[in-house]
Amino acid sequence: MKKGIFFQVIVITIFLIFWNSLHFGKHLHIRIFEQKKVQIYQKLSPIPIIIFSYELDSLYSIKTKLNSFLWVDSLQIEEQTEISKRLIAEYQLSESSEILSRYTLPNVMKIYLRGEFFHKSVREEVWRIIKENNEAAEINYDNEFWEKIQIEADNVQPNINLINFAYLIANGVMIVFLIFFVIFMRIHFETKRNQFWKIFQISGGKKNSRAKMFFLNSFVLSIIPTGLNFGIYFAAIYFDYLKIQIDDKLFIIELGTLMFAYLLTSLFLIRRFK
Amino acid sequence: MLSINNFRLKTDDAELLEVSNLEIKSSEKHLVLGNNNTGKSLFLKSIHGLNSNFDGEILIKEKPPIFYKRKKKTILIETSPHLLWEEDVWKNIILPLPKVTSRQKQKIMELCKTAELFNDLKTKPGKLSYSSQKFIELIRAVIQLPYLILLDDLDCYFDEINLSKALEICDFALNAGTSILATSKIGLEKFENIYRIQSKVLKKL
Repeated sequence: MKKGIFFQVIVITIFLIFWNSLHFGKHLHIRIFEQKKVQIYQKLSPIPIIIFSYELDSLYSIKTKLNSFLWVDSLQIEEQTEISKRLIAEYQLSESSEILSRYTLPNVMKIYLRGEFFHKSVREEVWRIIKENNEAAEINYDNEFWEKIQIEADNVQPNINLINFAYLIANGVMIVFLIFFVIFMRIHFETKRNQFWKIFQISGGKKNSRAKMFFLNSFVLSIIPTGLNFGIYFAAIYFDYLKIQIDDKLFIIELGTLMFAYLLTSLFLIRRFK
Repeated sequence: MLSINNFRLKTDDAELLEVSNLEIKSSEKHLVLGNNNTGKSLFLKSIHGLNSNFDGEILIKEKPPIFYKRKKKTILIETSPHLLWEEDVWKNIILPLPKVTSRQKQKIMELCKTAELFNDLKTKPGKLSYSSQKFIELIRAVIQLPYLILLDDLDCYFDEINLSKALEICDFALNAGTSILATSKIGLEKFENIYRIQSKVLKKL
């Protein structure tokens, strides 16, 4: 491999490592804030949603429907008979059990939540399912606390949005800079080879050899740095050195950016290829 | 191989050279004699396709020089050496070859022996004499077996001994059908067809 090409491979590889560290940095920061958000939502876990209803069947129907949701930790139904027994036992009301039996107590269902998944939209979904199955059901929930948690969690969101925005801008800057840098570097090294190609043509060499060599080098200069970066990343994930995974498509974007830059360079150099 | 008819070479001010008819067949050696500023070099450049400021017709294998713009079939060796100074002799010789076959390699070795370059294959051309540098260019041209090799001011490159070596090297290409057209200020032996530029007209001697 020619010295110039080797140098360019090294420089572009380092550049791409730097670019990839931006992806990792973004993921790391987002993860920190997401964890913070989860911790806030987890405060909701100990507080259950309590549903009172006289229709036991509808409670079972609600239970079946809610059971499959990720944000449901556990569901408990306490039938009215159990409640009377428990009240009698708890408050030693055995003597007044007859009086108590005259009253019809409602059945109770407790929904324990996995707070980290109990977001705004989910809450509305729960309320809708309950009301759909039993319009008369009474829902008891600490809405005030839930609101407070939502506000607290919402306060974390702007930080995540800011990181996402900064990441987007940084990527844009990186792409533009990489394109300019690569164009400059290629033109510089191609200019250095002008004398070589002049003598090559005078000596009888084929006229299109320069263009062919340019595109071959462009291919090498795109594939090797991107391949090296992907290889390092893949090895780091495989051997467990890296915990954060980034989207594989990002490597395709990097490869595409390099190829686009070389295509632009070829437009600048097209006169020299003729 | 080469057919020139009603050729008139012009500069901005005046007409420089007139060639009514020149035919060069395959494997022929032709020499054009002329003093300085008689248009010898420009004549060769016109055949090579580097100068288009002329009237008349130049045909190489029945096609105009423009036809060979992308894939040159003529090689022009000018007075100033065109070599890669940072590369060695071998690299300079094989420069235009896409790949060197073993037959080509063997032939290059033989030609280098003739030119006494065999021991200098790893040497940079800047350390060699002017005639050795011209030998490198000549071997490089000959090994490609083009239709036509154009040698400008051949008398400047070599003394009598080296000239016979150079023509021996040229024989390899001549035997394969290449033709040679050289220019010189003085008459040189071993050329079958010699022309002189007299009063701006090319005349066969």
